[in-house]
Amino acid sequence: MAKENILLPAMSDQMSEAELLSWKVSIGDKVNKGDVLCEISTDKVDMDLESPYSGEIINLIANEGDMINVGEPVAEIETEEDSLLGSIFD
Amino acid sequence: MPELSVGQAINNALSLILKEYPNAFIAGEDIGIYGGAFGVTDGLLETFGEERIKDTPIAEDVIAGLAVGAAMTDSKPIVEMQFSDFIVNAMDPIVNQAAKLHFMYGGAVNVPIVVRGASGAGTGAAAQHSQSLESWFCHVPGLKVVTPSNPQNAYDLLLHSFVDPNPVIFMEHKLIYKIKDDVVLNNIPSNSELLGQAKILSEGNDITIVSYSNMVNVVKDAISSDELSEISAELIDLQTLSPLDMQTIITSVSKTKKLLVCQEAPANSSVGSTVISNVVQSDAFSSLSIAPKLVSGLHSPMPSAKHLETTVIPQKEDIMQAIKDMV
Amino acid sequence: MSVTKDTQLELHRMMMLIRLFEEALEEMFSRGLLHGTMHLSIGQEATAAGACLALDKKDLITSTHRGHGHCLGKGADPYKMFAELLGREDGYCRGRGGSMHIADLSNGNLGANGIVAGSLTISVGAALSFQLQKKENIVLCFFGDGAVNEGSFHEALNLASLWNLPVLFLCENNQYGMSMASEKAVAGESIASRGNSYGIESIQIDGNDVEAVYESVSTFKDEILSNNRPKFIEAVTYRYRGHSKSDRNLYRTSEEINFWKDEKDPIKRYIGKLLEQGITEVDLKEIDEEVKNTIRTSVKKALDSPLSPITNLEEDSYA
Repeated sequence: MAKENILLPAMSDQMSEAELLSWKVSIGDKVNKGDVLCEISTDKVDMDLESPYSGEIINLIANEGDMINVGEPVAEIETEEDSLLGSIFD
Repeated sequence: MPELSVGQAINNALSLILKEYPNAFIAGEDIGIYGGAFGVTDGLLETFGEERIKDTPIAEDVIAGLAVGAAMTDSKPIVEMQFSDFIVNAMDPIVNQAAKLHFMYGGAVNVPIVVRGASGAGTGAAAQHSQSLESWFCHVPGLKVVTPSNPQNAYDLLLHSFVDPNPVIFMEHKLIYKIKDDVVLNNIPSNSELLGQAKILSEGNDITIVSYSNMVNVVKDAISSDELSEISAELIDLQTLSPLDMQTIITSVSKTKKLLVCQEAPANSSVGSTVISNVVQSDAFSSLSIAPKLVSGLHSPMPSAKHLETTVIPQKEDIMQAIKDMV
Repeated sequence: MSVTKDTQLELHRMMMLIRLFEEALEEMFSRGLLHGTMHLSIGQEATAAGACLALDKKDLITSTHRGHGHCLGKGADPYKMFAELLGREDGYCRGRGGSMHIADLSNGNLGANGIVAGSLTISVGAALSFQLQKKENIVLCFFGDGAVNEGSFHEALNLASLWNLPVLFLCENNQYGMSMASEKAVAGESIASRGNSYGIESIQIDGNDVEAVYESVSTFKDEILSNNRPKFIEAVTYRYRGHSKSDRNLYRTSEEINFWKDEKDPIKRYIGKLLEQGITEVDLKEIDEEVKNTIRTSVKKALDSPLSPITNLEEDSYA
């Protein structure tokens, strides 16, 4: 089991930041890969942010209303899955 | 040396290519037994057979597209657009593929194709069969654009276009097919050094006249008239429209201080406009004693009636008047 | 025909390589490392792996904007592919082509193409070269369901049929163009029937059954060469991700996406089949780990490699 950060991904080529509108999960929730974690708003459109891992949410790092940059962590998850490239970027 | 028409000169060049390059072939509509709509490929089927002279259905997209694929795989295709107006059906393979692949693949592949097209007006073929679209292709990096004006340069320029490793658009004005002159039947060159070189057809001091394709012949007629016998005109045949030989033009204009450009195509975004813009931006600008002038076709589709058609195409008299106004 | 155990393991490995390559790209994109968009083929691994592994090195392919799988299938080095997407000098196109234009001529990949149906007529020309050169090889032309409505598709099939060219036309029908469902875009009986209408023998297969793809391509390749006739395969498949990175999947339901992921995934299905046939989990895990390491090593090496230097691009436009 490892703790992984869930980062705000770039969802289009031009995106550099987004506002976190609302959390759809709480600390302690078990999620599957692909489940919606929160709703974010970019300058173009509102979108759902999906979990890249299955596991348990152990920390919500960003708050509703925060502006977050692409690449910054929004939540932490404990997961059995091993990140494909994580070791390269740690 | 034989006296040949432009059509015959090109036929000779194609024949030489097919003989020396077993991997060369020609494809197009009605080029086989029919000999091509303008007779340019007459007799080639008999000599070289169906494998090398390929009649196609009416399908310009695949005619140009197959040239791209064949050229990428060690063949040397020369394809024909029966009327250059039909080239618009082949724009994707020419503009998005042929022109781009060498660059997009980091230089790993060349696309040595020649796309020949019968262009221009004066035969009453009207709007969809009379256009001069060469400037469209000058706007696309990766393509070369060549326009012969007489039998000798038609022969030589085709050979040089063939050995050039880039895609070449070779526009043959319909009215030059029947022009006859002596032709030296040179061997296939080892490189394409003739491309990108303009030719000074007559030297002069009073005015630089730049032209290309059939309009060169109309200009020649104009400057040799009795009325203009006192004027010493330097006539430059561009021969290659892309890349343009600006050096020859700039040197000439620095000498004569006057620039007249004559073309059949309409003025907007044309080769002539580009030539003038380049001269104005160059060191030759300060030599100019009068504003450069462009004599061009009208911004109109080509009408079919002869008396209307001649108003759209610059005539000898229009060119003579322009010269008289400037000198 | 039965597929040997070695080939079975190769097929599994190739599908895993494609899947993990695409997922690695997804992660790199999310981290803001990639410029431009990407067209991922996650879910479509079986058509690329099955078809490419049935070909020889000297057979050629033409590919599409969704072509990473084709490129890997034909033997490309993932390092040079990552390097290309990162704009590095070591990239297949020295950083000038990018995702949609990767070519690997040494492995017979004439290139991905950013124009839908752009490579159909090119494949016809390459096949003509093979005919003129009397080669015993074919050109496999990949294209999607979106391409079958472009004029060049029809011109290419017509001419390949008339001239008896050695082309295997392979449609990866993932059932959507960009947002338009193919049932709204393709008139007539089916995509395969379009091949038939040009006198080209055409079949429709389950594009997510990697052995079906492999066997169909192998069989058709032999028949193309012995009968001197082109052939056509419509392989039905599905893509899990949007058309590109700007696609929000508004045109389909998550139920539909999940159905294909859960019930029809080509990799899951093949693992099930291989285990039934006696291949062990250990064998498969070994392959998976090797592929993961290859991907990780390739990404790291590509990230550390130098950018393509700025040269005179105007000169580079011409040979």
